[in-house]
Amino acid sequence: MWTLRINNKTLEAAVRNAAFIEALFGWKMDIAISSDRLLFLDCDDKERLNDFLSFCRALCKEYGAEGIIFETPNGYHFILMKPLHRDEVQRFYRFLAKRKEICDKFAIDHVHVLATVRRGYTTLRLNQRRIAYFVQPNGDTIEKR
Amino acid sequence: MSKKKKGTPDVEAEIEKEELEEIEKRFKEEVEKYREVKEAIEQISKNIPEEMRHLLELLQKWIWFTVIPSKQEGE
Repeated sequence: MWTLRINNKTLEAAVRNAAFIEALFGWKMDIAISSDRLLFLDCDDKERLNDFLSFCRALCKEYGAEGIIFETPNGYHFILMKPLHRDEVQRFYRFLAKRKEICDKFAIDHVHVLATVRRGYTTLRLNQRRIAYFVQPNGDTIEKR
Repeated sequence: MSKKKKGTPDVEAEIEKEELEEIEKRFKEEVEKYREVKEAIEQISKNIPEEMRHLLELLQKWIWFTVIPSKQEGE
């Protein structure tokens, strides 16, 4: 099904466009961040943080980079804080797309992965409530209180 | 009583008055829409937490911002 998506270079432009659409058409719009260089993961199950965290920690160790886990209204988002080559990002998502069992095991939203492969870039809604954890490059986690 | 004919000064003044009222009405509607947009911008900006804004500045080289429909209830 086709849905409206408007890509904007800056947050200010996105906020203005969202506001115009809401005011003119009455459609409620959200702002999201998108990237074809960073790894974003979505977890839609608040009860399975530990599973999700395991995967995120392994990812940070694999790439030798920090990651941040955010709490959202329905679950968690993860962002790996290291830009990768576009091809590498796509390879990663294509791998996960073919391995639904891995996504299920670690509470990763497989639909989000499939959408990323289809679009060629990944997107997360800007509905994060707060930072929940910092994940270190060695896999250690620091809970943010 | 004299009939008003099309093209007479009275009729033209009447038409002009109606057009002006129409323009004024549309102007007020546009101002109202602008006010709604301004309020929507403020509301949307308020919903983005401060620590996210800081992070977005760090990541700005590798991200862009997408406007998408809000999720419906149950989605």
